Amino acid sequence: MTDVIDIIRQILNDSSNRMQHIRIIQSLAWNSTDEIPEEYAEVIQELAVDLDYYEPDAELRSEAPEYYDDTELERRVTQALEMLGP
Amino acid sequence: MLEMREMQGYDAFGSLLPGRNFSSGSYRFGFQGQEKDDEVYGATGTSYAFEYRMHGPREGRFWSIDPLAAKYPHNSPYAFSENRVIDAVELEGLEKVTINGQDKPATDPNSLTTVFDDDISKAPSDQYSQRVVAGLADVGAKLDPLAAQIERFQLNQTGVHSEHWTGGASHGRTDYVDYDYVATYYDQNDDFHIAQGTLSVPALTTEYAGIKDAPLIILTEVAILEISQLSGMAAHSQVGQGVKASEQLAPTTAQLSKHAKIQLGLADRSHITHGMIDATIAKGRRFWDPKNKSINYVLEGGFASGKNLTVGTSPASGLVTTIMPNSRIPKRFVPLP
Repeated sequence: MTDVIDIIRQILNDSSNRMQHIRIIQSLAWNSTDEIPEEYAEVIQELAVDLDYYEPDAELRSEAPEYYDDTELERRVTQALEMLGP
Repeated sequence: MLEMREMQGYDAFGSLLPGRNFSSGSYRFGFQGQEKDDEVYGATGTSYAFEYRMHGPREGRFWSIDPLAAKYPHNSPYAFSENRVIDAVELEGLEKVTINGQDKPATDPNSLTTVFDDDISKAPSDQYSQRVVAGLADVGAKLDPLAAQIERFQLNQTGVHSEHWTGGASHGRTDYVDYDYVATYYDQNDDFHIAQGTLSVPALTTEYAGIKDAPLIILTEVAILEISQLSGMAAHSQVGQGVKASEQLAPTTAQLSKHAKIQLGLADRSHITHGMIDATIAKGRRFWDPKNKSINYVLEGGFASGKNLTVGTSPASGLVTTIMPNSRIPKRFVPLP
């Protein structure tokens, strides 16, 4: 579980590889549910859904109000990390 | 004179469809050409003797563990055809073999099975495949960060061209792999193009962030990103030779945002078709996602693996905004009538 949290942190800290870290989290959330403890599963499942609305490209983001930018991404990821605990 | 001895309708795992079969009892073989063993349950078509294991079509599982289980820890040892019952058949109780000719049994050293597998949680079946996966699969990436007219592209068909090594076979490392590719991408007018060429993809370690297996596809993405900046001009130069999307893709009723189209190019979603999206919107359960303020259609168990297909739509634009092959419905989703 520590590894998973580390990858979530990487979304914040390693902005140049942000999309890669996002895909890892989504892959873990959607394909490896047994490896994530139940108490964390819901937070990570919801985060994985939220991450799907992240769009760094402003032009693509303008197609729908649901898409959000880096600032909102960082807010959501930070919130998820707080819910997952220290 | 010809005599029809048997007519069977099967479900995906080989169980007989009620009212859609008859048998004279004189023909021993059935589902996927395997011999029936009707003595177990006393009813026809209720168990099959594959070469290595007995299969229970009503359970959709083998009755004993995979003889190759130790070699493939990522697979359920009882899964029939690795749960790929639409596009693959079972090979003698050992593993799946896809029927479209794209991949071969994973035990084949030249196999690309893992690459084309829709379940990216699976570990590569062997070391060779690990190296191959590190450079293959469908990926979304920027073709050229400086080219405004081209947004992103994906590799949707690839084949190993050659592999370049340093060191010996047991402790050597792959430096890079050349791939033949077919790239598809959308230009600024949302027109669809196809280009072909060869890319040299740097090989990367298969361990990333301390986690094995899962990040393989991400490594692929990194690899393609790197190489696309180095030699992506091969695809770039062929922009003018592209063909329009309308000539290549079946029409769909659901309108996808560019973001969603790009998602369909990701490895974990490249198997999702426009038809599946339409079917999900037509038949899936509707949910309101209060956080993202989207309406989501969920086709539960829409995949053979048991995963759901979730299609998010924007109430404001009417576009399909996200397409997710996820495994459960988030608790915050509010069911809609």
